[in-house]
Amino acid sequence: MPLIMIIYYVISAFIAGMLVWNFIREKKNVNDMLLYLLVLIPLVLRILRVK
Amino acid sequence: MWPFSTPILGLALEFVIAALVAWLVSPKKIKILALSRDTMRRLLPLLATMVVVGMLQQIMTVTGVRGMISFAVISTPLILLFISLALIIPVSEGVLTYGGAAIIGIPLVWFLDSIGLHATVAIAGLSLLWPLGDGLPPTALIGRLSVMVSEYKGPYWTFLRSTWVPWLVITVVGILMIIFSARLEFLVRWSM
Repeated sequence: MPLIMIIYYVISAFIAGMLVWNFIREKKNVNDMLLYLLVLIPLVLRILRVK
Repeated sequence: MWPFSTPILGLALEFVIAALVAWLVSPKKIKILALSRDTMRRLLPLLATMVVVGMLQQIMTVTGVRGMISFAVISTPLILLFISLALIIPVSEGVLTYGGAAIIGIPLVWFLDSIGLHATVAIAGLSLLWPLGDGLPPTALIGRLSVMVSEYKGPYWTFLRSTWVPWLVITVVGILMIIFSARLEFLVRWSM
């Protein structure tokens, strides 16, 4: 696997981690929680290599 | 071999490298995790918009709607096409963000090239028109970002209405660049 692709997986994991962290800390706003989950979808698919 | 050829890093990685360099040389200590989380929280509506638009493009591609739109654009009568560019280009950007260039731009440039217009100048003209759509709803990607950064409190439409003079000038210049691209070929002759 090329190095650049590995870096992209690391970036995706980092962003997904930040989103999960924000999702867990978000206690009140349900809309924001849904948006966090929505934004997570492509990142999780990328990390799991699902096309 | 470097420096004569460099690997294609991609825009996202280039941004990350720029951010890392800014972080390393910053005289103030930056808490990168807290900053990343706060940036995510502030830009959440924009991130969600980009994800939804990406999904929309994928669905349009697999259902054939993307091809249908491309065909509709290139089969429009030429005069009508030139007039409607002022509308379809910004609206496509407003709906599809950067996907507008992929869906409409590529067949449009091929078509303009095939009727004898100069592709490079025509692309430059289109590149003037497309950013206008970044201020248009539903995505209004750069428009919303500008409102957030400038902390403008009024309604978005008031903000947008105040841009009508530069909007008009950019539209006219962009369309004229496309129509007269063959005559403006001397501008890019140096690059041939």
